[in-house]
Amino acid sequence: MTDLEAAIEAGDAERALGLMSTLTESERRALAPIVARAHEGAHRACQSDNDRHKWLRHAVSVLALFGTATLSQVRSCPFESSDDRIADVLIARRPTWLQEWCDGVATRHWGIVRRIVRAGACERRRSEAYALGLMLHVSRLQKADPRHVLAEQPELLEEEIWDFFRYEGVSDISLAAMDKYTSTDRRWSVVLAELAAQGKIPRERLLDASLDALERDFLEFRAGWFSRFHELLAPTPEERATRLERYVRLLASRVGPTVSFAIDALVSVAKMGGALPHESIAALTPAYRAKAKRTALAALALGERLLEHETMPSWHAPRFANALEHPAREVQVAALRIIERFGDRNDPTLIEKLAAATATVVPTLLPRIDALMPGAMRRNPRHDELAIGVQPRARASVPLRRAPVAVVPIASLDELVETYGIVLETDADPHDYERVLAGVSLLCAERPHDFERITGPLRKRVAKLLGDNAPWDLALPRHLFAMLANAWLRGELLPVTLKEHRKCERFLAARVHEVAARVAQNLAAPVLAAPTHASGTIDPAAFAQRFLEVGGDAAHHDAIAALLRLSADGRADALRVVRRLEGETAHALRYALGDDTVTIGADAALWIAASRSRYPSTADPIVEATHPNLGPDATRPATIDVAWPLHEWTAPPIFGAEPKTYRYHSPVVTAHPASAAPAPFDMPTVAVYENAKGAYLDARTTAATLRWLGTVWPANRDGWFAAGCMALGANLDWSEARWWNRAYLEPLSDPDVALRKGARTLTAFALLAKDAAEGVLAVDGVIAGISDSRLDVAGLDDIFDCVISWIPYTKLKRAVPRIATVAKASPIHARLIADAIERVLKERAPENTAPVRALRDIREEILAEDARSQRERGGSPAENQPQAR
Amino acid sequence: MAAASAPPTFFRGLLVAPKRTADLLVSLSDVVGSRFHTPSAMLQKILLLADPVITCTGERLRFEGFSSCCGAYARLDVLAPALDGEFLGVGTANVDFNAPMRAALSQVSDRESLAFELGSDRFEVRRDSVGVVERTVDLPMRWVRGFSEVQAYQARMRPVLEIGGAELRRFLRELPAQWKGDAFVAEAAGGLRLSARSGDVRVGGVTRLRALRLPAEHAVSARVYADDSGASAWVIATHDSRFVLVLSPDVWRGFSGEGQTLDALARPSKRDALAATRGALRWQNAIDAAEIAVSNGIAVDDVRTALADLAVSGIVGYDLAEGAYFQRELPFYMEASRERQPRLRAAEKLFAEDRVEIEREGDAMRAWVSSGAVTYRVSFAADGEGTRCTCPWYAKHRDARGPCKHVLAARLFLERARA
Repeated sequence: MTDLEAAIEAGDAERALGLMSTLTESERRALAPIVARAHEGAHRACQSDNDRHKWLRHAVSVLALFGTATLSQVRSCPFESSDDRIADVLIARRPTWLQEWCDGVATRHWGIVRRIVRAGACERRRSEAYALGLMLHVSRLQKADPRHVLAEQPELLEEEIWDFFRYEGVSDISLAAMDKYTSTDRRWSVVLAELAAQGKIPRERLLDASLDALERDFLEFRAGWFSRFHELLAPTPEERATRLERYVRLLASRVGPTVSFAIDALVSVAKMGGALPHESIAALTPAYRAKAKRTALAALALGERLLEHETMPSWHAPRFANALEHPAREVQVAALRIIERFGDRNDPTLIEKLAAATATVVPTLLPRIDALMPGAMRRNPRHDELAIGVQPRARASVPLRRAPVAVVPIASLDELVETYGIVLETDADPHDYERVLAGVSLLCAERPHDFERITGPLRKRVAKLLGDNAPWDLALPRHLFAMLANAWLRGELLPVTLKEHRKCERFLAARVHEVAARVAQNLAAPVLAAPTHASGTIDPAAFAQRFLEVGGDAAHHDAIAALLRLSADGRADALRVVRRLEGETAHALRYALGDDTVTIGADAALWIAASRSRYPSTADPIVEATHPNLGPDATRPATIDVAWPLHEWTAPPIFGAEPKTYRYHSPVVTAHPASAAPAPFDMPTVAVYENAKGAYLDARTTAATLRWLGTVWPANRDGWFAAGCMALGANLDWSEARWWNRAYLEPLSDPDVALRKGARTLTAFALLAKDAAEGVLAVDGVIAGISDSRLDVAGLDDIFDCVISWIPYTKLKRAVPRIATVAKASPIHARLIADAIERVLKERAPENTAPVRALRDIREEILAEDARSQRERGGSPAENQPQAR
Repeated sequence: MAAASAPPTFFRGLLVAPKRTADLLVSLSDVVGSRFHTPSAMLQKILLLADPVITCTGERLRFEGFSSCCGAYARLDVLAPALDGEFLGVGTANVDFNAPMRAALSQVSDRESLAFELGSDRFEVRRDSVGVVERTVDLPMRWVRGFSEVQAYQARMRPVLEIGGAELRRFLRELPAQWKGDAFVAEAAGGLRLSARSGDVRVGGVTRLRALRLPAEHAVSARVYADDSGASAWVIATHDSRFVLVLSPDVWRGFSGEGQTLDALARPSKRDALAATRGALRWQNAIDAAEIAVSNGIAVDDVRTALADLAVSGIVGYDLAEGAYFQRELPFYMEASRERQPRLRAAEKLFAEDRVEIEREGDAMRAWVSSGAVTYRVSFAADGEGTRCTCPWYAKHRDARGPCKHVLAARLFLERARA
């Protein structure tokens, strides 16, 4: 063992440093292989051990490695940035590769590199890595206060600090990122401004450097630091005046906040009486379309002021037409006023721009634009199509429905294997789940000579799925169908375990498990509940036929599912087929089909399903007499209401801080009539309301599962929508990314789905949701609902009533643009929306806040558009007013 | 010894509307520098490719590139009215586009002078008197595959929407910053509307459209193209340029792995038509298939097939606005494209190892392809279209991402048997 190895083994750093200090470079290199082995051993030893000596040994081995190894060996050696002795070893050794190594680690190990630079062992390179390294170094210090480093090394103020303004940074290292997660007094911006105030760093140079950075096309987040810092320095009017041209140049930035910053600077100069440069007139043009309304308005005011001093203001007036594209009405109004004041009505450029603007300008301004344009107005054709005063169509007594689309059952083993693959590999359509379930159930006894070859791919896939994953790692449908395939192909029935509260999922699982139990014994039979139509319903005649085939062996959950899916049409014919069948399940079926001669049996779940099948939205006193008080949508239709109680939550104290109490309102959806006891899972119409109480906030729910659950009772999805209300309402501000909740909203656009109270309440929640997709799905639903008459005046009033009455607990401003989008769908939509706004504002009389005013504006614009189109058509708006409710 | 000749220069001149062209070029650079999707395996090793391919065809400059995730393809066609200079030659170069170049192109105003010079080895931008030169770099391998695939998508797209610039700007302004899953774009009063259920165009990863916000500031009109796969192309027309953004069907799907060209690569080309079409290329901006067919006495369909094959080889690209292929030569060859397709290689291996067995029953035909211990069934529809397989790849993607290796192996078997 060499002396150096012994020093490493003993964890004696002093001795190791002493030994290395006298070595020549060739002697060091000769020791390198031995040291590398010692380092490897020390590194391995401390991987799973917190023994202090082992860590000391490791630290000394690192020092020895830096003192002897080649560049490639050093590069692969992990080390601590805080160990200054590494720098000392390298300073003493001064290997030829030192500069290259320093350049490579300048960001992550700036402290060591800096020590080497200060010792003169290598030169300081002006690089982004080095500049970012200083930021990272400071953030890792115990108090992360730049003052300490700058006080210790004041020469940093000469060069290093200025590189901060030159380089943009990367995702986690930039001035913006560093300051965002630092307390105010330790931020770089505050420290630099403080140093400028103390005269330790030139203020003028800081002002210019921040503007330089803003011209460098940095990303918005990072650019924001420089504009904020510039303002933190509080430039005087004189300082701003000398930088006027630079502010004007920044108007061309594509970073919105930078443009706002430049506008603010120009406004403050103008307020102090400063004259803006002539080129500002052209430079201001992009700012008229700035996303921030305040910025666009300020830019317009500046532009107007400049025009006042122009000799030919009309020449520049067309530039202001840019602002007519702005979504804010105030901006359009301000721009139009300037155009009216300075524009030349014979200027073809202006006329062309105004004509183009008619596609985007709010209808109340159109008459003023008409007045500016001589002759016919050129409009976007789509705009004209909208602008016709059409009466809302009278509500059809029955919602429009699609022609029934038949579900094609799986007919062969080949098709079954192919479709099974789709069910296992993708978030399949619920119909595919049902088709595969029915297909396996019917074809399980088929065993052609090449059965093993045909089903080989499926067998392999299922073995992998079940072998690699615990059941709870798979989404529910995948889990259930892997279990079913296992029963079919291997004759082995696996258990399905689901938590108690996941009642509706347990209902689905029980159904599949019933089929799997039979399939495992190669007993083929039809599945009663397989939908015959794309709406998720079963033709009663087909059900009756299946029931005859199954005889008295109908499985409990399958029978319940089938009853709930029975279509309303053709029940009398089906009843004739099964009228003479006996047994409790047969009686329940007969009752569902309309037979009043049966005796109500004891199986509550079966009779609840029969009752709901027969009376989807009315009370059933006959079954109620035998099975009373079982809850909402048992024997009486459910009603729901939403309350917003105040919740309190006290955060546990952290690091000795005072416990903090949060108070917030969160929605609670309550269903009536209340049940005497929790519903069993084989009563899905009742149990779904327990999901509404919050059980469906389970993180393992998937959109595919929710879609499948939505098909349990296609005639009345109110319970399912109520569960959606709870799921969306509890995450209105998108505090968690619960993407799957959107599945609740998808059926709103389905012409077969009735939009009752549950659906309307859910729509109101979605209109107020932060998630854009939830909002868009609500808009889709309302547009489709009005188009196919599922949503009438009363329905729309319901939605608006929720939206307005929930103002104290939600953000109305999220709903306003979505309502405006609905209104743009067609004149009918527009009129219904205008009427609904009028009624709800009159009845609820909410406080006159900005979003409420925006809602009023929507109505006014609709009325203005209607009046304009009526004038163009030669009629009177009053003649075509829709009937008041 | 003769002195080495200087690399050729293709274009040298000023920009007529510096701000517009600079903004469009910065937008292209934005797309190229973006990663719209980060696969989990790539989190530690993010590639940032930023090397647009530039083609000079004698009367226009085309800049093309992909996002780092290869799911978005952007092209800027700078047309003749935007350029005030000399066209000195034709050719293609791919150059690095880094921070100094972006800085030179950002916040340009129309009062400034902006000049381009493009050569086979460099691209130079001079803003007033300050110049930035970028040198040619190697074309990344993923782009090579992406260029082939994106042409296949574009060639089968059809126009579905047409809107004015103001309407496009309004739509893009209202586009959400965050969206997961399918989205549809539908026509509505005042322009376009986003829908989650149905519409004229399906757009996967709809937030990628935010890359159009800067080009839209200069838009006079826009046209949207789509096909049945869910891919869409957004073509923005300005007064003197066109900006094209082609989006893959889903944000996680890069064009490089789409497999749309596998069929073309697997079938033998008609050598005569290919040679005649190749010979007819004269750096046209819009290649007229009918004209080539007539002048060479071959069928138009064969010319179209040959053009599709040449697109796979990187020799032509597809221009939606012209509805025709254009010539540009990427530095790779057909055989190399075959080698770069792992699925095709796997299929050729299955075929070579005699793993394919064909079974006919009347008109119906199916193939059994053994792979490992399992035999997969490939079913052919009677009309030859709609081939299906029982493997997990087919179950997951069906035809959306090209055929699986079992289908390809079966097709190779049938093609060779026919030959």
